[in-house]
Amino acid sequence: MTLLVDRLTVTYGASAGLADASFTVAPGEVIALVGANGAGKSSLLKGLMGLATHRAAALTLDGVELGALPTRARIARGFALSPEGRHVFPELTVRQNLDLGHVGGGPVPAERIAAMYRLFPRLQERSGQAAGTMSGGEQQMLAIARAMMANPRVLMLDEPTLGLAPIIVRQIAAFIAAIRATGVAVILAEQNAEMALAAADRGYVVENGRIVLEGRAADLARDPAIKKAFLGI
Amino acid sequence: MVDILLQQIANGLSVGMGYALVALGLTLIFGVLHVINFSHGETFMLGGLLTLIATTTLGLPYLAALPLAGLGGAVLGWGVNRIAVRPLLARRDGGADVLLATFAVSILIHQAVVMLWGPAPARIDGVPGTFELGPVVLTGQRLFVLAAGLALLVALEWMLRRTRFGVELRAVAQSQFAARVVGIDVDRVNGATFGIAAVVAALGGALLSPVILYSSSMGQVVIIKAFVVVVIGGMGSVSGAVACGLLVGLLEAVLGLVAGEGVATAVIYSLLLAMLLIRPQGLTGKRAR
Ligand SMILES: Nc1ncnc2c1ncn2[C@@H]1O[C@H](COP(=O)(O)OP(=O)(O)OP(=O)(O)O)[C@@H](O)[C@H]1O
Ligand SMILES: [Mg+2]
Repeated sequence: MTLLVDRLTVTYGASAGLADASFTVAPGEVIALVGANGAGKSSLLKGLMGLATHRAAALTLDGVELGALPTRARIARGFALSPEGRHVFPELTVRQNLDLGHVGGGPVPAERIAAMYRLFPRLQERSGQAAGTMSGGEQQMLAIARAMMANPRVLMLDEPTLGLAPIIVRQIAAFIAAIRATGVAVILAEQNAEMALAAADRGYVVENGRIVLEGRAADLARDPAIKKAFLGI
Repeated sequence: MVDILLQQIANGLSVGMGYALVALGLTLIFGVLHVINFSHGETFMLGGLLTLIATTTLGLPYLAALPLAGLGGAVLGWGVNRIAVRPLLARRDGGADVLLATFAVSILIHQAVVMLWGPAPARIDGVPGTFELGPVVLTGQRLFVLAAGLALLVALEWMLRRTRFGVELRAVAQSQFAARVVGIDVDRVNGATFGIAAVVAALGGALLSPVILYSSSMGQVVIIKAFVVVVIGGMGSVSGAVACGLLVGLLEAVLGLVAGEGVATAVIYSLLLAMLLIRPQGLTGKRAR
């Protein structure tokens, strides 16, 4: 088992963004987190990354407990996040954004950069451009590539298709399929439940800060009650 | 008249370099931490004081006092961040209190220095000699201020643009959240920003004190000028701080000559007010990025 999370709770001051979420992710597996606005999907990812106050009975990657480590150490051990809303560094170049995704210390491996450019050729064309001047879709590719620079074993994508044209959504779905084939586990938090469940093996439905349902993605996508209650599709 | 004007331009530029070095740290700290460090002027003063102590009490040559001043600045900057900034920033909405906390620190430092060394101004012997450039006569120290200031600025610009740390610093300035997402240790970058700003300000004090005389209030005078520079140059803009630091020094010297010191001061503060009213983003409109 790659990732095992037992009763993860994420708090913002006195209020909880996520309570007692337990789940597992295997190597090469894609899981989808679906649920309405404010359900707690992003909170779950921020908790995993150490970006928000959290506690958990267990948060282990291959048996190694990561719950007390700072974000940088979690990235070094195999986590990476492409955050909701992209959050690229607007006045740094595309290349500098990618460089910052590399955590190993020492020079940024040229081979890694080249791999990102093969993945998203558009980024190579724009390598010297300030990231903030790129289109929304290009910035989304950059946010994903920046996360991939860390060479993650668990890649977390928060709303990677929000506001993107269908053709780019298909590109990102193809990217997820390609990346999971290399053994990387993917956690996909999406408003677009249809797309997320189509790309995933298993799904977790999040509601009011709790995981209320889990199952095979195909089953969740088909279940009319779930469609109506949670997914709005 | 033209000769005197050229002379004043040269003198104004060297004093302006001092303003630039202080404003630079102020703007860097604002750009990265989004707080105003009111005690920054006292770091400039400390640089002057350490130079005075090194060259008189310790009997060191002037140039040997510079590293000492820089080191003292680094320690002070680190301490101010630890005591008056970092604990407040850890609180929700603590950023607004930093101005007041660092104001308190600046008064404490100033009073401590007055108590321990007295308020009397003191002369410091800098780089000796004079240089004639046509009609303009520059003292060795003023020339050294310009050259060393320029070297410092170039080194800083190189650090910000070309080193991994510099890019991390700019990343934090642009988005603290994104910086944390990629694993940048924001506290470390904040602390280092404070340290770098303080070293530059203390070196500014060490460079300028032989020109303007050391006095325990030199920090209070310069911090006000630095605020003007930072607002005119654009809060958070590094290049803006440098250009406007030189500009304010120049204006002061030239207007002081043709219209008197009172008018020069009035013009500079009117400029501050006008900028706040019509162009609050500053001349460049850019942030420390
Ligand atoms: N920084 C924060 N401070 C306070 N409360 C927060 C913060 N971030 C999230 N919350 C709260 O936590 C709850 C869960 O939010 P979260 O962002 O995890 O939802 P989400 O499922 O990602 O929603 P969306 O689909 O809109 O992105 C919400 O009630 C939200 O208001
Ligand atoms: Mg979200």
